[in-house]
Amino acid sequence: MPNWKHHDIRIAYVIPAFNEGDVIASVIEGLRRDGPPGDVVLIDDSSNDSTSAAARAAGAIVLRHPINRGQGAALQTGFDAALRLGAEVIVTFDADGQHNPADLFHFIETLLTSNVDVVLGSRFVEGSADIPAARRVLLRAALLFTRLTSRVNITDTHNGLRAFRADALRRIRLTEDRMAHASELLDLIASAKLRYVEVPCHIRYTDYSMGKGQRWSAAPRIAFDFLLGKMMR
Amino acid sequence: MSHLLTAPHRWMLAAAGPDSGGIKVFQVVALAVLAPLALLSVHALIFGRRRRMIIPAAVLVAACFVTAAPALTQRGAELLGIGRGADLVAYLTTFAVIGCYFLVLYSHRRLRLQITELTRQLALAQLDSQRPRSGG
Repeated sequence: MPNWKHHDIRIAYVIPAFNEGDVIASVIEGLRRDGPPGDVVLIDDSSNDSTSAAARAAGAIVLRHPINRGQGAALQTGFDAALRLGAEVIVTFDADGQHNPADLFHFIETLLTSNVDVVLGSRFVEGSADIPAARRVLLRAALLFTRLTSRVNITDTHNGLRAFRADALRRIRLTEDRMAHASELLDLIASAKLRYVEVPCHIRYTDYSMGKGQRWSAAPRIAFDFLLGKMMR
Repeated sequence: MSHLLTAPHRWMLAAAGPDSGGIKVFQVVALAVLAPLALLSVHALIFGRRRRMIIPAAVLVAACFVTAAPALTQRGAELLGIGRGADLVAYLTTFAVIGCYFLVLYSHRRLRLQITELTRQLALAQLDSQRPRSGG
């Protein structure tokens, strides 16, 4: 652990998960071992494998959705839980093991010492050498869409690593249950006029995480869901 | 009394136009179905204060007029430069279907949000039974 000075700050890691029984224990153990100390809140979105049991055994607080509602719904449940636990900093972290817990020191340090409400992870701040070509094109398309619809000036729109101050998180509420939540979150950040900054993060692309990631075929549906939600909000 | 019964009939004959050949059985049957539905939707819109009924009410009232007086659609079409009354009906039907589609989507979304909130509250109820443990 680097020279960590913020032991008095209560941190909660929110991890939405669906059928991650194979990897979730190592993800939570890695987070607890290599990241800043905090409560790990795992939202099991009605998995039909051992996700809940494995996460609980690894030391996480596990809340289980009785029916599957999607990643966006699980994230908002996690936000509510983290706020009820009294967390001052809330971090979203992916369940598939693609995030590096060591990045979190810089993430949270930036949130606590800069004049911002939200810290967003970006794969593009320091180049994009490790990103598979197809994924890079998809992310660029998503970036263009988000800039057009939400006018958020960022470089990476669909990065699951984010850190929020509690008072900032209270000002936004996700309504997109499924994958359109990533665009909605940025839109809400812009609407609530939250101050944000991007910091670099490193993504570990494995066959497992690539298999869990979004495909081109899902993009039109996500865009439609987001635009419809924005219209009806 | 007989005047009251025949008055709508006369009005329909006049509105149908000089070359309409009188009222068809189809019009009578269609109006018997559409008119009560139109009245119910207008009632719900005005007295029930259900704003989402505005599209169904508009569609049903328009359908009643078009059925009762086909010549009106021809005049309307000419006024809008469309040409044929049937085309005007087709365009309006398309817009009505799109409107109804969004209405259903809106209802579906509201229901979905309610289900998600219920699911969330059930999940959050589990929080009380778990003592927070600090990581690190």
